[in-house]
Amino acid sequence: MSDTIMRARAEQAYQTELTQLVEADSGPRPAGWQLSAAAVKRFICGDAKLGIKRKYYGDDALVERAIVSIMGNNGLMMVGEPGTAKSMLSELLAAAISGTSELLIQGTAGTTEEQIKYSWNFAMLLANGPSLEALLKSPVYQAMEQGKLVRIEEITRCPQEIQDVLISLMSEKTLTIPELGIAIQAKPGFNIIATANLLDRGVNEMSSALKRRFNFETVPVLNDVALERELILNQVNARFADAAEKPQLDEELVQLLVQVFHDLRHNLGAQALDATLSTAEAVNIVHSCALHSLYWQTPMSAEQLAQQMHGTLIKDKADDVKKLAHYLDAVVRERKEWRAFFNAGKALWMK
Amino acid sequence: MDEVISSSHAFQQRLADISQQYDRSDICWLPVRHHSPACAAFSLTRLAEFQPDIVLIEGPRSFSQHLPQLQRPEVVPPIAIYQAHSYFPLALNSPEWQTLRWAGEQQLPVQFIDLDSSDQDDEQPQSRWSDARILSSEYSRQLQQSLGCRDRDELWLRLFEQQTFASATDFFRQVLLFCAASRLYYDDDTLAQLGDVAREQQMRASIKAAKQQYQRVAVLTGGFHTSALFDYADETAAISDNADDSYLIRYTDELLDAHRGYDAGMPYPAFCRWLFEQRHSNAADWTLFLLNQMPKLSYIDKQNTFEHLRQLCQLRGVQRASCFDLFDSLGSCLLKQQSSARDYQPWQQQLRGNNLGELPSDSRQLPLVEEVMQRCKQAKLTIGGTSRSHFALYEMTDPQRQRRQLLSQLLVLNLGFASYEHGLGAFYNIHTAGKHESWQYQWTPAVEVALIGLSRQGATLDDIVRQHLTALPTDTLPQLFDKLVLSLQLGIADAVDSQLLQQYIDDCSSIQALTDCFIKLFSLSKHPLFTGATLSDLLAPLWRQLSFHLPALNQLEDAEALQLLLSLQAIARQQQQTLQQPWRERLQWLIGHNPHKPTLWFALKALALDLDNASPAPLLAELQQYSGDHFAVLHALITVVPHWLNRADGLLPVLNHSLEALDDRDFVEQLPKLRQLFCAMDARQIDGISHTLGELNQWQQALNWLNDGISEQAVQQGMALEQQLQQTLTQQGLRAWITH
Repeated sequence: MSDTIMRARAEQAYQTELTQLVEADSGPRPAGWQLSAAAVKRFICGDAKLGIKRKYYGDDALVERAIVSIMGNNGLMMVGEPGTAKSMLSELLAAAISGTSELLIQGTAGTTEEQIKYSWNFAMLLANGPSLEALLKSPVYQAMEQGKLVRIEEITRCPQEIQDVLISLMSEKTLTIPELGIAIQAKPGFNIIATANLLDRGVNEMSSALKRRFNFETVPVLNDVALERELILNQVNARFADAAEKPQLDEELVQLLVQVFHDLRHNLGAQALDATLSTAEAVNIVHSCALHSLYWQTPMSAEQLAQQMHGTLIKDKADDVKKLAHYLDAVVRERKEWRAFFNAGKALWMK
Repeated sequence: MDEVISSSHAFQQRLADISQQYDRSDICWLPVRHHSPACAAFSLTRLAEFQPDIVLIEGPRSFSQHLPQLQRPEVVPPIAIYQAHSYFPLALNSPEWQTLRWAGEQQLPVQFIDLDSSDQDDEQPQSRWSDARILSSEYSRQLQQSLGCRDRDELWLRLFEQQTFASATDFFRQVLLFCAASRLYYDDDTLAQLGDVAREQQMRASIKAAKQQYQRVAVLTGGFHTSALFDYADETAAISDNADDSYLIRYTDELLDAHRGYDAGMPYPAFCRWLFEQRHSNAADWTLFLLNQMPKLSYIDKQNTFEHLRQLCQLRGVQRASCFDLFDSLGSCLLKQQSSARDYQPWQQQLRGNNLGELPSDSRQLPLVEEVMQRCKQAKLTIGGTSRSHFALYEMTDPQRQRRQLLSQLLVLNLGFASYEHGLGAFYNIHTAGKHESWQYQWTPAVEVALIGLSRQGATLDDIVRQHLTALPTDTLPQLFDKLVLSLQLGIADAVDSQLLQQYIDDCSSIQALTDCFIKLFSLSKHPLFTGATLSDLLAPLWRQLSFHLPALNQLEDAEALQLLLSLQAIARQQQQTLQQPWRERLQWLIGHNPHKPTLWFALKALALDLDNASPAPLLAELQQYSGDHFAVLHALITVVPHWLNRADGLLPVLNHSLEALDDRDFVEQLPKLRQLFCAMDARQIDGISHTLGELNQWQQALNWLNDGISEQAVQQGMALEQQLQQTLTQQGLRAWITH
């Protein structure tokens, strides 16, 4: 499979683990779930005894709350800054609970009601009139029909009136098709996992009625420096898992990057960057450095790190350059062992 | 726990040995975490099973003297025993509390077996019962990680408070192993440094002595120490009996909370209390009970949260919900936005609790505390709760005066009980113009402890306050005067000897000190706090001394001298009957006999004329003839008689004339001084002056000094220019131009 596709879905990537868990799982399974709640947690948080790898490097408590929320009547809404692994967590939850994570709607400004509910094959519609054969089922429709989880990414990017289509679906668990005079009733196991990015349009613009139908979970940025370093190394190594040649990752440089991110997130107060400083961004920076090192045949360096930081972090916020310069001047300058990084950053941000 | 224990064979072997020693011992060992509800409940079960002849409890040996009090039914926790800067709190859910109450009911002897705290101890206050050694150990940290717990308290709750155990013996074996495993990470030197070695020696000696006397002995100690006490029979040290005084005081939920700095505490004292009280209810009833304690939950909210919490506990493999589980479910179900720590505060406050312990009024024998509590009650100050109370003083009736005096005494002694609305500085320099005062006060265990500490200085509050006053410096008249004012506020009028004060006044030759005292005395004598007091009697002698030393006016800076004259003139005007004539005579004498600087001479003359409401024209005519610095004199006159600017025959024509005589260069030189002259005036005065100037100079248009008709943009431009001008002037060393 990995020879022919760029990215495997969670249920494909972790097929062996899921099979193992299904076989070993003796706990009570909620209706429509392929695993018990405890096994879902083991799949996401890891289990040393079963040889299941940890996939989410945050609070176990958050994962537990999320699982319990999906078991209930309400949907699960995960909110947080970009790059905090909300989508990854929702994919893992869907893969573990429903066995598939492919029922997905990407919320955009152009998302329509049809994309949420159903649309028609107009050739068949015109030829034969409305019929189930002519009906094109949306991911939500399929999830209701099959008793599975459907994911809606970036739900707050959708217009509010489109978001509100979900209200009756979630409370009645029924999708009416007036053209056919029928209604689809959701099977047990159906639920919605939505994600919302706080830096775009926040959840404040969501209607209260829709909010009431979700349990909210705030997915935080990782605070543990050691854990974040381990996560970045794992993720970057995973990206090169199928590559013929593998780069030599410089763990000290990764440590430096994690510490820089940590400082910029927590210690600078009003001088905090506008740019997103998530673990995902750090992974991208290290990945780019590793690619550079691999294809230019040079070891990873502080200069490369600073340049990749510049490329990844500095978007359209000119003030961020000044803040980085301030950080270099006030903090990095004092750390003698970071001299190479200071010089590289100075050339970029203190011109 | 298996994950960590299995990491080392020697480690595992040591724990197995400890477990065996626990099982084989003929002593009933009760290793506990202080304030743990599960430990409290299982202690009762184990004691009932074992039926000991005596119960030994970890706590300073001298605390046994408080047992009769502690075992009285009227005592309601939280309370604490205080000794040498250390508190030993007892909550309803403390194993120590439940054990000593149980022993009291069974009429069994109880002994405390730890070393007493003393002022010489190196250890930090409150560290005796600290759980940091077990909960912050490497062992605990590894367990937290492997069980996915967020902190040490969640780990403890998960392991011991939320589980069911086959028996009390099994429970205590688990606690013992957990604590012993943590202890294995400490070496002997560290333990000696922490003071544990000496304390455990004392505990072993006490157990040995008890075992010689009684057959069945139960020993309740912190779990960290228990494994070190098994070899009590080999202990050769004698029991130490050195003890400082200790006192029983009321305590609060807030102080018991581990999150508020009590390092031996459990988080959320009210939650821990409920956990103990509701230990027999089933999981569903317990969950419902918790949700009923939460403020403002609708039926639907409770229903959703109940279901979420039930399933969360099931997933986490616990029998009963902890505070962590509760907050998790409340957050998931009720917070419909990105959550922050602040969102949880109302729920956290509920679980923290607001209880204050109770001690029978007839049993309290705390030095000084009783008297102060009695006086607080007489003065109708609220001291029964844990919240801060407010006292607003609008009218100086006798009860209000009495209340203020008591608050002032407790404020001056810095007990942390009362605070004055405007801060301590304002308390000493009372606002005579203030219509009312506002105080806040709160009775806390720290107040009781501070009073106990103070009781070494005197038998009564008045004695101690008197000593405090005695210690104040009285080297100068102002210092003695401040002491007098303070002592009057504190209701101790005789703290300053009136003859001594008279002597100080007679000996004082500093015109500045005399003036300051006189002005302060005059303003305070009008304050309702001091009516009827001796302050007004001092006005006459102080005035006499001041007027005798007035010729020394010349020694002061011009600004100080002018300000002083102005203040005295204002007082003389207010005290027409008593002071106006003496002041008039003194002014005349000063004008006639004293060789003054011209500015002061003109100022004195102006004040004399002004006092009699006479025309300034003759004086101003003299000024026209004066060949010195006109502007310095004008400045002095505008300071002491500013209202002369508004008179047609007043200062403005003279000023106008003086300005006309200046060439451009001199005018620019005088501008900063002129600006200073007028910048203290209000809009009405400036407007009057601009009109008069227009008339004097026969200007066609009135001066447009107001901002009317000026756009906002123009104002902003003006402000930017002003800023620019200030910068330029500063850069050129012309700061004088911009000082006000």
